[in-house]
Amino acid sequence: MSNADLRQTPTPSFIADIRRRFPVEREIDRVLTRKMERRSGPGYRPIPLDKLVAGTTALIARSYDGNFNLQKARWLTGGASKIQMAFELEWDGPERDKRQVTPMVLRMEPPESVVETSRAREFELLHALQGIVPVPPCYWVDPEGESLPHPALIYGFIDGVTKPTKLNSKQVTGIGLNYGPELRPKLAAQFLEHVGRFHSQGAELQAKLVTFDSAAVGSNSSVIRQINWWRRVWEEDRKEDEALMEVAYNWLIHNAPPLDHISIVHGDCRGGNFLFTEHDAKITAWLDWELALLGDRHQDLAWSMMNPYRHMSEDGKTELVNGFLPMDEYLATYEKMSGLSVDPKRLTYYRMLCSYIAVVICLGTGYRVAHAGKSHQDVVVAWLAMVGHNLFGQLCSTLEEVM
Amino acid sequence: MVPDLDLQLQVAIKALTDAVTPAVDPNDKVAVEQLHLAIATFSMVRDRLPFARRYARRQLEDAIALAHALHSAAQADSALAFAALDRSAAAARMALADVEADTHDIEAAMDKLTDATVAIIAAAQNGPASAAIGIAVLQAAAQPIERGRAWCLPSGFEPNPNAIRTLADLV
Repeated sequence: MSNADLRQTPTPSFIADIRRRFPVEREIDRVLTRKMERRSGPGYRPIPLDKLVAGTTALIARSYDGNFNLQKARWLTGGASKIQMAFELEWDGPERDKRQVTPMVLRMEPPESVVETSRAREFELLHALQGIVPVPPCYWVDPEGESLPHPALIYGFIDGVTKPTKLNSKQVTGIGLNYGPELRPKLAAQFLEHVGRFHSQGAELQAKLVTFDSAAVGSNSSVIRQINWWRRVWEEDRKEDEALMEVAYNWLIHNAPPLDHISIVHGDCRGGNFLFTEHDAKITAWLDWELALLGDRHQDLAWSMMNPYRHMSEDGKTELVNGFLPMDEYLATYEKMSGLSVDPKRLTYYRMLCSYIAVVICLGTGYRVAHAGKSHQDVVVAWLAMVGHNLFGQLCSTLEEVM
Repeated sequence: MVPDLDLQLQVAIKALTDAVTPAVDPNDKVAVEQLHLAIATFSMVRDRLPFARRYARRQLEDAIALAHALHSAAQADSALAFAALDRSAAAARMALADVEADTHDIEAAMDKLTDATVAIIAAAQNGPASAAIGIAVLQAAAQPIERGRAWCLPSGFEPNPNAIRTLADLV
């Protein structure tokens, strides 16, 4: 049996060997092992809306003993990763003190996602971030998919859009997002101010985040764990190997810097991953925390600076990082808003790591999920895989800088 | 051959565009997005299909060149064993010389050669030739990466598409 076949129908020894070679955080190990144990199982088949309504009702009933009624269920689009259903819940509220109707969202995994992550972690973090940055209120979680077909969580529906409604973009997942000259400065300032807020909070929130392995200032063990996370995913998911990925992995392991500060790292920190209201240009909620971890703030900065999230200004003269600001201004504004320094050497390191992660996701998992028919959006995931070649170029040019 | 693959793709795209798209509920955002991407995917396949075999052959030629470059780069490390890499490179040359070899055969030879190449890089890690091997890999990567980016230009993901040579220039 070839290695490619082994990835599609992995044996227990294949799974165990990868786990041994690339140790990761406990919860990450759990979800990745679960993914591999189910890899040879069925692909995604359309799930009727009424089945999701029944599962959602069962999930709520498990921990909410009040009278409630789920209504107006409908599909939500957006992103390339999770199945989402919007609905309204008529209930007595979390304190059981007042009859009310609350708009909510069910966020459920398909059999496999372009990023395999933990709903328990997402639920825990959304609770921890309440009051720090705008995030949706999070109500219930089904971490093992006991009530629903797959693991899921339920959070509050927040008003807002991820991109201007006038923007006639058909590109997927917010890539190349252009907010336009009017919205741009207002959103840029809030974005960087909010990022600074959650970057300041790692040490303070660490005790609340029991599904996250801890990180420590002066140690690079959390960085090594993360490199291994993505190397493990590369080993589990890829169709074909790449010599440059082996060189990049070696470089990342040998040059992993110790943390100088513990931050909440969003993990997919960029335009398109927050909601804002257009009438007042106010960010109303930060979304998609599934890749979050305790780590180095430079990772989020480097991720938001990646090539696919840049575009030129209206006059064609200036490249806008993350669709917001020229590079120097972007970093200076972050430092001013957050009170945290930007270390160019660390930033370069995390540019390498982010390129590596992005290539793994697009060229590794993107292929595997679509090939096995595991998601509700295989055509989106396969399309998204094509950005991997640009990211591979970015990885190559960053390696040229450092080697 | 009638109908040829290009014609079959052409008519499928036309049917999806002219007949299916107007029939889809515009409020069903998931269906609208997936239909749009399905049409874009068919269009891209139609455009790229004529290049597929040449693309695979050029990628394999680059991989053979890298295998050759690793020999020079690894001179400082006499412990490295090149037998498996040399066998894979020889098989790859045979695949290129075989006029009957189809795209799948060429890609299979590529996979084996890449696996052997990665095994050398992993074995050289921490050894005296590690840095030289890394640089050789980096130097060899530029062309296949640009070719991959050129292949994917219709996706619209390149922020500056004019910076990439056309696929026809690279295959």
